[in-house]
Amino acid sequence: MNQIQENKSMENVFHPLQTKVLEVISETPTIKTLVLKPPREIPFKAGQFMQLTIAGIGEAPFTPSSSPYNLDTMEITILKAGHLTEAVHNLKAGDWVGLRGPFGRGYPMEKFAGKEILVVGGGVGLAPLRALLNALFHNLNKFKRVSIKYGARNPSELSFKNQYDEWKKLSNVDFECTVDRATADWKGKVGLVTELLENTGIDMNNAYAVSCGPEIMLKFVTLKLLSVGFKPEQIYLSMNRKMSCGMGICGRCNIGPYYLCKDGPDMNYAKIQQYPDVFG
Amino acid sequence: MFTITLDQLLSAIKNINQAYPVVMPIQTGEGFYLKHFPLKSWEDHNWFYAPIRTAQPLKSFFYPPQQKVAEYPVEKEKNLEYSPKVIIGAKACDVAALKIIDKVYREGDSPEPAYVKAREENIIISADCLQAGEFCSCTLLNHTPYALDVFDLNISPLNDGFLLETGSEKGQDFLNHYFSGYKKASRSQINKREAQRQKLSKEVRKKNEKYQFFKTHQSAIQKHLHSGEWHDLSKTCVECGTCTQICPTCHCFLLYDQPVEERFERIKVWDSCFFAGYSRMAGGLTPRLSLGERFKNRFYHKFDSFVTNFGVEACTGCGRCSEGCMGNIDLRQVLLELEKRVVLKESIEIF
Repeated sequence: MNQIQENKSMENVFHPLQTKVLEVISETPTIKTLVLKPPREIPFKAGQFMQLTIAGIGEAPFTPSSSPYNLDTMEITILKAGHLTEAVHNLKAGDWVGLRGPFGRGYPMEKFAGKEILVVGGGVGLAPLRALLNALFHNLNKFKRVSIKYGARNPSELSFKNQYDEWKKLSNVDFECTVDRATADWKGKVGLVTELLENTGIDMNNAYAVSCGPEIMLKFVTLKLLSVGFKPEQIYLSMNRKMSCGMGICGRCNIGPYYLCKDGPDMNYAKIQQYPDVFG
Repeated sequence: MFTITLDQLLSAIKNINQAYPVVMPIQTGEGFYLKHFPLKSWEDHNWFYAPIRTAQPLKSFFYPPQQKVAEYPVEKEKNLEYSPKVIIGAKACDVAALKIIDKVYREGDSPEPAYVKAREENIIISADCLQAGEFCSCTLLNHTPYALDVFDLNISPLNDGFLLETGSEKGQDFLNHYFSGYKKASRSQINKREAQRQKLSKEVRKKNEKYQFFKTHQSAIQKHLHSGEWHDLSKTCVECGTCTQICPTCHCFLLYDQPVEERFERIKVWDSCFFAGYSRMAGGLTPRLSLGERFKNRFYHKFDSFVTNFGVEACTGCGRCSEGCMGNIDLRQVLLELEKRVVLKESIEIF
C-alpha cells in the first residue's frame, strides 16, 4: 500500500487496514494462531482488541495474543466457533485480512505494579491473556508475582503448550494447568480451573485477579475468587459481547451503562456486578 | 424575529430548492409523511404545513437505513461526499432527537463521520406544532411542541403569515440569501406566538394527564433491573422492531460486508435491540435471550443508562413507538406501570 492509501484508511474509521497473513499455526484441533504483518506498526496495550475483517464475510473482535512490545508482527489466536472463525481457520500463509483498531482500554498496568497478579484462563481465553502475560514478563521486576492458572476441556485443547516450560522458568512466575476430562496419556491435574484457585498462597491484600474464558467459567471463577477472599474491585474479567463498531456507538455490547468495546473489554467486577446480564 | 407572508415563504422555498434538495411533510390520506423533493422540483401546490410530526422520524436524513461506509481493500472514492438537504417543517420532537443522537454520534470520542457531515451540512427549518396528536407526549418527557434549539430557522404560523426565528449563523445567512420581503416582528406578534405555544403545551399536558409520573423513570427502572415485570409488560410484543425503526433517537447499527466486483463494501445498516440476533455471538450465546430481557434493555437504555452516561433521557415523546406498535404497547403506559409496580413492591416489602 502506498502512503496516500494508507492515509485514507486512517481517515475512515470503518476502513480495515489490509494486512498479510505470514503464517497460520495450529494450536489445538479447534484453535489457530494467525501471524500477521501489518503494513505499519499498530501500537496497542495489553487487553485492547482489534476488529478482524475476513473479506466479504465481515468483522469480529479479537484481542491480539502477541506482545504489545513486539509490533513487527501481530498474532491473533482464534477458536473455530462460527461462520467468520471458520473462514479464519481456512486462511493460509499469503492470504490477507483486514484490521481496525486497537479498541478498548486495556489492562490498568499501572495499578498492577507491585502486586501479585493471578491470571486465570479457560480454553481459548488464554489467548488474549497471553498479550497481558507478555506485557507482565517484559517488566517482570515491576510485579511481585505472576501466577497463571489455566484450564481446558481436554489435553488436546490446551493452547500454547510449548511455552509453559519457558513461563515456569521465569522468576516469580508459576504456572499450573488442569483439564476437565483426561485422556490416557495425561499425567497432569484433572478438574475445573476453579479448583486451582483454592490454595494459591496469594497475599489477598496485595493482589489482582484477571480472568478470560467462556462466560460460564468467568461466573464460577468469580464466585470462587470471592469465596477465597478477593474483593470485587480486585477482579478483572474479560467480558465479551457481540461488537460491531468497536467505538461504543453501535449499541449492542453493553453491560449496564458500560460499552465493553470502549469501556472494556476487561471490566472491573465491582463496576458490573450489580447488572443482571453480567454472565449471559 | 421576523414576519413573512405565505407568498414570500413559498417563493423562499422555491429559491432554496433551486440550490438544495428539500425535505418537507406532505399529507396522504389522514397521515403526514416526509417527502424528498430533488433539486428544482418543488412547486407551490406542494406546500403543506403539518399540524403534528410526520409518521417517519427525521433521522434517515442524517443516518440513512443503509449506507456504505467503507470499501476495501482499497478505497476507490471518497465515501464522505455529501449533498446537503434543507429540511423544512421539522417538528420539535425530531429536532430535539438530533441533539440526543449528537451525544453518541458527534460529541463522543469516536464521532461517526457521515453523521457529523450530515449534521454540519443539512439545514433545519423547524415549524411549531399546531395540534396535540393522539400519541404526542413531548411535554410528559420534558420537551416542548416547538423547537428550542438545534434549528437554523424556525417557522411559527400566525393568523396573517409566519414568524421567522433564526437559530444559528447559518440560518441567518439563509434568511439573507433566500428570503425576501420579511419584516421585523412586532412585540404583539411575538407575544401572540408565545400565547399560541403555551396553549398547545397545555393541551398536550392535558392529553397526557393520566400518564403523569411522580418519580424519575430512571429510579423506577433501577428498581426493576432484576424483576420479572418486563415479561408481563412485553407480552403482546411481536418483535417486529417497528418501535426502534421509527424512533427518532434509536441509533443502533450493524456493519456488514458484501463483495462488489473485485472489491468489498462495508454497509452500515439500522439494527434493532428487539431482534434476538442483535447480540448473539459465535457459538450461539445470546446475553439477552428472552424477549422480556430485550424489552427491558430498550427502556433501560433510553431512560437509565443514557441518563447515567449523558445526563438526558433518549426519548422526546414523539409517541411514534406507541402509535406504530402492533401489540398496542404504549410507552407511557409501560413507564407508568413500572412506577406503579415499584410502589406496589415497596409496600409489600414494608408489610
